[in-house]
Amino acid sequence: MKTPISLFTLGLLALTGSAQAATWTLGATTVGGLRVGAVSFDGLPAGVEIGNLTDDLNDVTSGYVAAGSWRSLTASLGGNAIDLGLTHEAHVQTSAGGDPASATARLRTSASLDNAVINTPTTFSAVGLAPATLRQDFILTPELGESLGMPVYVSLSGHLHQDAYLSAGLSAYLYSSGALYLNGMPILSAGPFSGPASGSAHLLTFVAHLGDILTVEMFNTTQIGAANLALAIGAMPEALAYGDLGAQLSISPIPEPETWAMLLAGLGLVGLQLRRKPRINPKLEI
Amino acid sequence: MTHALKPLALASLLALSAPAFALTTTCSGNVMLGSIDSSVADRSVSGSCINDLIIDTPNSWGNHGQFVSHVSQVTLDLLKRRAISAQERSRIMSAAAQSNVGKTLDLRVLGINDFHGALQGPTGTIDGKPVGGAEYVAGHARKLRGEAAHSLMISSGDLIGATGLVSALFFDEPTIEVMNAIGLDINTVGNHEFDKGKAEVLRMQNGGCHPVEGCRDGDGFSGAKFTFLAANVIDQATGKPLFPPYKVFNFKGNKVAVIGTVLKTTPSIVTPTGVAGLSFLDEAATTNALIPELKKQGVRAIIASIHQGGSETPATSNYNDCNNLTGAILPIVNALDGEIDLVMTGHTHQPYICQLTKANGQPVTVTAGAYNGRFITQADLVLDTQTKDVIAVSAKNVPTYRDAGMAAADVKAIVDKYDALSAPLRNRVIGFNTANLTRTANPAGESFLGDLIADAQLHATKAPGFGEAVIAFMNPGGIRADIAYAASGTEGDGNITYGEAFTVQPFGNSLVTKTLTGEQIERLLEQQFPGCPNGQPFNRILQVSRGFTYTWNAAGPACDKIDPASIKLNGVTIDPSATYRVTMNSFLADGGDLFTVFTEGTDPLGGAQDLDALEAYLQFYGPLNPSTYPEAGTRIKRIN
Repeated sequence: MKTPISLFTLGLLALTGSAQAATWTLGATTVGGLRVGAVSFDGLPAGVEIGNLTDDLNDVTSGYVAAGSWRSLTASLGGNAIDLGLTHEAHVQTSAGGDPASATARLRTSASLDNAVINTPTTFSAVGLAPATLRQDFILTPELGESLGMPVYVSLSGHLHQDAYLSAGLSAYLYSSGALYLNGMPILSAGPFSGPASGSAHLLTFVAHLGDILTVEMFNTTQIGAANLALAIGAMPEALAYGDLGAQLSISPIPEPETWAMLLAGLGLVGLQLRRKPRINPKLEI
Repeated sequence: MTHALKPLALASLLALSAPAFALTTTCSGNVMLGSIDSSVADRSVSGSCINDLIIDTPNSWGNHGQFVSHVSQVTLDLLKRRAISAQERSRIMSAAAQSNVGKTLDLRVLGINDFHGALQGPTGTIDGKPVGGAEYVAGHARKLRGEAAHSLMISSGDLIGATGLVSALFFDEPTIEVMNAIGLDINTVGNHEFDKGKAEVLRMQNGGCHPVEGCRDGDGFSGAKFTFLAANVIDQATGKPLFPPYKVFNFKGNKVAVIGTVLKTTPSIVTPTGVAGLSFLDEAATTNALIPELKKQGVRAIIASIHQGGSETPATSNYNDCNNLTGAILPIVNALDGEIDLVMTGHTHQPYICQLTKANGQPVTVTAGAYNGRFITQADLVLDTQTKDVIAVSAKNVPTYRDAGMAAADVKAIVDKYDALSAPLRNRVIGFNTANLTRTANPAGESFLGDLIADAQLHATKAPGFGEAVIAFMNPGGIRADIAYAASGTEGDGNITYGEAFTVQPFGNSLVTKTLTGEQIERLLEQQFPGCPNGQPFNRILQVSRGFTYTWNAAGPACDKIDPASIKLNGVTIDPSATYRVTMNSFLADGGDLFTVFTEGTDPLGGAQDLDALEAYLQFYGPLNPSTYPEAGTRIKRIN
């Protein structure tokens, strides 16, 4: 049943073109995430990283949100060293891509180990995680003289890309989840998604009204670890785990009755075409 | 739950990306984020330097967060491709976060005002060089917009109405189509937008052919692609503004609003039929009342486009200065909300760039660019993308010089099309004459065309509800040509064409009727001669309507050349303390030609355009014979 809904949305988007019913205004923002990392050689601490997502950038404004920290520490003990990197960030935009009817929310996290220099045999342990949470209110706002309460279509799309590259003996943990609320009532829950995942999809189209508040809630974390990993001289353990989770909200006008008729006729034609082609299921279902 | 991923894929990742590394280019220095040095050495990735992959040029991003997100995406990709280390990514991201890239956005706002359908130029001379003409306005506008990453173009009223012949003959559709081609974004209504009434100005926006005359060019009229604004013009039938009160523009997420208002006294200078069913509210109060609504929408950058203006006293030749600005715009600006960031004005046909004080005591830039497309006002705004407010404004008037290469061919083609189509319309016969009708004054200062035009204006404004005028005065300088008995074209001798009448009265003034006392009328007449405080440089004799007579003594003392007992209306001496309804054109109503007494008049009521009044009178009166015309050349008498 997924394909018809997507076609429906595509049809709506095609119909509405550049027609713009309304725009987005940002409401309340909650953003954060603790960052924790530690490295030890032979059971002795070699480096610790603790902090918060907002440490390097914390722009929470009326028009956008950009917050994040991007940290890397070189953990060293004796003749051995390794870089531990932890990043987590949140981005919220209205007028995404220059389209006033579009708004996006995005989380990115990463944890990495690289640049190892092992001069003496050692037992290596490490943990690093940089979660990010975001709860963002988006207010459906009239822009061209429309009035509060006017119904419009809102469509929600999501994308997710989380993966890890690991050398022998290292592990990773990848996790994301999301939810959408309309005036405080839950209307969609997505995930949780664990492990490698990649894809983007239209998730939902629904009727909302100018003045409504949509709340996007997202969580993303990546974690890497090593537990008592024996390293020989010259060993180069490496790990990169990352997550990239996003949501896009778009507004489109509700077509007039005559336009509906054209839409349905057009969808009928598309349906006829599809009947003649073999279906290809999407690889990733979100 | 921990996913112990198989030791994968570093090798395969490298293998996948290997071909990309085949391309190299020479990169030097460190990766820069705006002016911040990341201390990470630049390098070639897939044939591009990292500095080229990161877009940090001004105005590329709607805010700082968009830039940081972009750098994050680029560097995460580089990290995945092992082109940079995690530590290097952290340093680049930290530098991106510290940089100022995206923290401001430049917006160029272009303004015209009182264009009056001046499609054909030149429309004047600025600093010794001819300016104007739609094709040159277009050329300059496009050049100025081409220089800017983001721009808007606003007309602050009187775009149409009182227009040149080519536009007027086609009900101003040519001007709308030209402005569509130029890319105008906004037209705030002026008083002249109402010359032909509510339905006609709505047609200018919405399109459709003229309800009586149809589409004279034969190819329909689709209306303005730009938006008419009229925040303070209320349609009494709906209780709502006739046009949207404002429009919000969105530049990469930075909203900029334009609020449009017209002078609240529009009904006092426009014919009653033009403003029937409409109410005009206070300019500043209407503008200010919209601010909370805009702020709720996240708008902090707000431009007030107001068809009202001021005059420098005295006017200077410097079109970018502000020499003691006076006039109705001052109290309006003084009452404007502090959130207003730029005020674009018009109506007075003056060019100026002023800093005036808003209600909160802060200064605001107030601009006007003369008239007839002689200038384009260029206002460059800097927006703080975090607060969304304007943090800097610089403005100047740019003359629309008719320089080589500055004419827009597509716009000229529109004007040429209508010019070619206009010939038969110019020849439309609107009256008849049996002899030459001249503006040549007799020794007393009275001319036949002066009598005729004054009579036409009285005729148009004497009816109840249309002024109840008993006297009309016409300035002699506003009569620009004679009307010959011989045909000017193919219309035949003795026929008066619309084109001929337009040549006589080309200014598009509208009529105004005010109440003056007999004493004021006497002082007004004395202002015709040098020596009075108004400073008339030479004898400038107003033309008067039928029934009004007086005698002036050329040898009389300054400011006392007229015996008050000689001033009569229909044979009855004017009573100094009585009041009389007096009609004049809008130029005189504002004290034009140094006739300041006209500004003392009370209870103003707007009337028709002067040319329309003349046409109606020609049709009312019938064939004109100067030798039999009532009281021709005998209304003003001179002794000595």
